[in-house]
Amino acid sequence: MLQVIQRLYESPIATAIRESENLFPILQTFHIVGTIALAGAIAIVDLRLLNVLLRREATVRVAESLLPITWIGFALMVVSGGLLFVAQSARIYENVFLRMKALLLVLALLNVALFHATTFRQIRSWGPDGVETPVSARVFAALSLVLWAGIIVTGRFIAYF
Amino acid sequence: MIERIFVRLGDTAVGQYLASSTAAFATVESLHIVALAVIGGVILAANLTVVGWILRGSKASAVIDQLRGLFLGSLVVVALSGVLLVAAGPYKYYTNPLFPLKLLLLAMPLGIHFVLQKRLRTRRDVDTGARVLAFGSLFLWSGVVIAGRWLGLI
Repeated sequence: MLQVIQRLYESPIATAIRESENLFPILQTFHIVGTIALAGAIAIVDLRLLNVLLRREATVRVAESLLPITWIGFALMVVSGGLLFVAQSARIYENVFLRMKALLLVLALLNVALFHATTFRQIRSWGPDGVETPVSARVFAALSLVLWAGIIVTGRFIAYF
Repeated sequence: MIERIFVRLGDTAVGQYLASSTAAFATVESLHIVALAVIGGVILAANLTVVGWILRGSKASAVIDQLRGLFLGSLVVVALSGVLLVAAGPYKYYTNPLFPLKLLLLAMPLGIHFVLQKRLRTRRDVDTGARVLAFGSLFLWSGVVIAGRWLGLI
């Protein structure tokens, strides 16, 4: 594993990012814009599932209409985040907050995958003209909010410790 | 006058504490970004509804009404945490040319949001003017985030 990290660190693209004066902050800017779009859109959908926001709109419409934004945000976040990681990989590989963030990210992705594979299938029936959002969906939504907040916090902490 | 406010802010107990503790500073910064992400979600949901890209068929003014509580709540958190960040290093911000630019960029979409709300309430349909305001708001909020990131770098 360490060898892979070392090779990534020494790759031409990682070296180019490190040696450029502005590339690193430019990537950081894309990373934060992507993260805000992704986490913001997810928060709106989760709060709808928890019945605290947009209660007069059908849940399925809120979830479906914000889905493209989460994908765009996710793509921006992953590409810029991947490049930021590669550029510093050998230096931050052992950072405890980086590892916590990676774990939280895996958990958040598992959470959404599991949600979509199970209770999400009934989403069309939830909302003002349908039935109450089931408890299982609310648990997925609450977990998602906590996990994404944790990802942002641990991500910020990587820079300081 | 403004310089004195910055100095006073830095002299407060909380300002001194945040200047001395990396963990506390990073915590406030994280809170600032989490609340900003929530605002980002609200801004995207509200303005994309106005331009007709999402929640088609829903009344834009009704959607904005339903988002108002969350918008104002997260705005308060962003503002308070922002003041705390300035208190931790007042000179850094006082002398930074991006700081007034960021505040100006912040004031503009807030003003736009107010005008847009009024316009949607008084007119039955979303017109071109409302759509332009919504695009302007999205554009300026992006500017706030970008200026905010570079503020910490220069």
